[in-house]
Amino acid sequence: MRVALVCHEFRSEASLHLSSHARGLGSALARAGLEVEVFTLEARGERRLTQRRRLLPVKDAAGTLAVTAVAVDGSESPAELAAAFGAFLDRERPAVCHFESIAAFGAPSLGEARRRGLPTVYCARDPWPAHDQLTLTLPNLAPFELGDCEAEARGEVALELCESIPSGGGVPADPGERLLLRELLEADGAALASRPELAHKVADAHERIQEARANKRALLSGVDRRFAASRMLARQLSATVGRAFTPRIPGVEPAAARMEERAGDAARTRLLFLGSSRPVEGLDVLLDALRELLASPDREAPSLRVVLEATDPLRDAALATRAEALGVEFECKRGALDVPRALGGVDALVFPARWGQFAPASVRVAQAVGLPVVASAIPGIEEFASPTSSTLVEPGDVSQLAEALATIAHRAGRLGELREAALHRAVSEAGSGPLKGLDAEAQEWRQTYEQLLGARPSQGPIAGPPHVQEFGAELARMGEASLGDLFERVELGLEQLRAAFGLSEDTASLMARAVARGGPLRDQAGEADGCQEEPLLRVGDALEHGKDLVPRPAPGDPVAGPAVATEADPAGQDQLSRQEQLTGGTTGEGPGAQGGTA
Amino acid sequence: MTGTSIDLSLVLPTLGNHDRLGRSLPGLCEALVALEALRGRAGSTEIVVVDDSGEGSATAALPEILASLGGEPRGVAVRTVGTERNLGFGPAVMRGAREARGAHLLVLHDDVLVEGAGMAALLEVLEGEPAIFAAAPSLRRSPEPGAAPVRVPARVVRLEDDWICVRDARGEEEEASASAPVAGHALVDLEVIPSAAMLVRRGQFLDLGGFDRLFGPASLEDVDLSLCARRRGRRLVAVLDAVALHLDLGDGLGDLLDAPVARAVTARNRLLLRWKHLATRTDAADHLVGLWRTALEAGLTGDRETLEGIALAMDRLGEMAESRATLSGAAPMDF
Repeated sequence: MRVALVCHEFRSEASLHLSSHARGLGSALARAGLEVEVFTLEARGERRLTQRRRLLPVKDAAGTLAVTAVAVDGSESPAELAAAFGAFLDRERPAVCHFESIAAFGAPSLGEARRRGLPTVYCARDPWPAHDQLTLTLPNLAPFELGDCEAEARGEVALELCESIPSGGGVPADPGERLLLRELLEADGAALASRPELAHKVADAHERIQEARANKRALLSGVDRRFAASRMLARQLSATVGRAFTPRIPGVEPAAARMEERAGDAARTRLLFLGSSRPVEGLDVLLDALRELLASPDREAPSLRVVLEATDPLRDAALATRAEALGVEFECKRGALDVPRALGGVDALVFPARWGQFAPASVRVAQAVGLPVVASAIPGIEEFASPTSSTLVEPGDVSQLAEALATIAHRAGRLGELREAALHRAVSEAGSGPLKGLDAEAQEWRQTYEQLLGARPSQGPIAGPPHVQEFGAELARMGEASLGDLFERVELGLEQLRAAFGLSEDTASLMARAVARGGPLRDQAGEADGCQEEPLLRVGDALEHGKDLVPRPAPGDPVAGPAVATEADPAGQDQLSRQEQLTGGTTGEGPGAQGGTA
Repeated sequence: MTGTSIDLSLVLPTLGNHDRLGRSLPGLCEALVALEALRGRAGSTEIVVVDDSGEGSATAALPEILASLGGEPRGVAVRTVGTERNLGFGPAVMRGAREARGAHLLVLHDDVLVEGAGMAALLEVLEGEPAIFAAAPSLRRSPEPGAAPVRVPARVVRLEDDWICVRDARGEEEEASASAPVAGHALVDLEVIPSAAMLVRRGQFLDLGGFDRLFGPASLEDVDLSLCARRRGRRLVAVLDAVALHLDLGDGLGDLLDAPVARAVTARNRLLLRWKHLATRTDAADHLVGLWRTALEAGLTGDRETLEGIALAMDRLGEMAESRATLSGAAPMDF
């Protein structure tokens, strides 16, 4: 079964990719025996919308993983992306389309899949079906609930009016904007109404958001099966969007779940922050808590390792400076993180996110390898962090986090209990629920695909009598092959023909001559000028002229007739004998030489 | 009829549609009565209806149609030959040809009418000139329902950028040129004999292999037959005073097949035909160069339809090789 896996971002490295699940899932699906064709976008210095396909090796895979990346520069319209996606579908002929992301592609791309009658699956890994503000936070990082259009509208207006809000959210540098932001985000309806110009902008934004949500609802109605990456997200999206979402918990990458080394017996607890510098993930809160601890001589501070996926260079650098001043081991890199190495020697994971987490990868990985977690008590984390092996604190509460860190700074006390519980859970719940592996998730998807294909109404036979239908079935089977497979068949057939005709010219030479004849554009120009016709001298009419033709032995004659000298071919070398008539050729390399026909 | 040899067998492959047979069969029976009277040879003709429905539809429809005939046409010998399953036009013709007893076969689509005088003219031409392999009547069809029938143009075979192309002749320079009359009948030589109506000698037709099932379900089998015959130095002619009317009840490629399927089968058969009749290594190498270019361009531009057509042909390489091995042993240089 060939599956199109559609995602906005895909990295080739086989390691944890915090912002996209597609790499690991693609490999797992290939291990599950599927032919996975990833369709993704890539900002690269090539002509816009150029598609490049490459095959990625997947260890122990019965299936395959190939990635088609479309070159983009951000100026592409949804229609252009849809056209590129349509070309991809026509080329690779998947049986199912699995969208890991729709936002980056838009409704027209989904329409391309539907127009081809392909079953579609979408897995929401964020609240995009309901909101464009995917972290569900306001510009000042205050959370809002999924479905709260009014809050999103006020946030939009605030972002539009306040230019000094830091990237990713926070407090504006400009005092006037700080006041405006507070007025916009905290004023009740009556108070806002007293500022008609603001109220008007908010109402406009509200209407836009409602319209966008209605469009998304209509779009998602066309998806055959909708999933969400956590129970909480599935429940809230179902309620907000009005379309059913089924929970499908993501699996953990097996490679990521192998720690390079277990924590040693050092006296000081070693903590790890694994994520990005986005304010919503709360690294700044963690550094504040650590500073508070370090400033309290009566409390012991754990050591901290920060491993970041690079997002914003300025923000990353600022946090690096702060972290290093606190003696934190800091690492920030582009591309996939080496998670097993990052987890090595660590006692616990700290993830003090403010909000906007939906099946966070770092928490799932930590739990899967038996590490305790110190994290925020927010629904997106609580679903994955067991209360017995985790310490949950109020999001954004520096003092509470500092206290929690101090509590586990001593290896012998609370940390020991948490570690024991985390290890116990990692063993007892291994492979299931939030701790399941990617291969288990891939099997779940495989079942979903099979159900969809099984439920698809079978296409009736093509019109016409039975012998025509037989050909129609042959053609339908051909239609399931990808363009690459088709080309391989043609390539093989051309080689068989070459051998069978006993041609001494090798394939490379034939291909070189073919290329030298010109490309599609030249041909199209030629067609526009009118096709050059050549009378069928060598096949039909010219048979009667005789000089370029092969004498053929009578049927049943086991011996080929001698080559006949002609004016054009005095030695008769150019004539194809009956033995060469695609039953082997003179070279003995043809299909006939292997005891069969082509 | 005992003791009277059969001169002519009408071979009428059909899917058994009652309406079609009901419109063509009575006319054909009358034509055979007229033909026997013209030639003074009673009982020298037969109709072989090849029931290719695979379900006996024609066999079931025939008694009612024949019962509706009155007078002499009721006496025409009509036999039904059934196929065990639906085989398609070419194989059905071959089944009928093998079962027929006549020295000549008049192969007709089941919606084509030929008058007795036309049949007589065709027979006289074939009897009068041994080099002629097949004689076709001048085929007429109505361009639109209710309109007066017009002559169907002859078809020509051309190589267009190394791809075989079969199309209607364009203009006078491509129209078939008049040949010397035979038995007083004006003729024109054809490049392609139409499968809708053609008279052949049964023995020659079978010797040549007839319609090659390689080209099933439809398309280009008549072109292949024409090339095979001409490879043996035989002529194909249209007899101008023999007229056939094609009722056009829906038996063309476009009627039988959906458009994409029709395009696919034509693309495949164009290649199979080319390969079957490739004669020299030079041609073969040139053809492969062209095919490589086509395949590379199709691969680069995502032209699935072209690649599918080639791949469909590749899937029949084995059958094509067998077919090619049966090509006429008579070298064209013989004449």
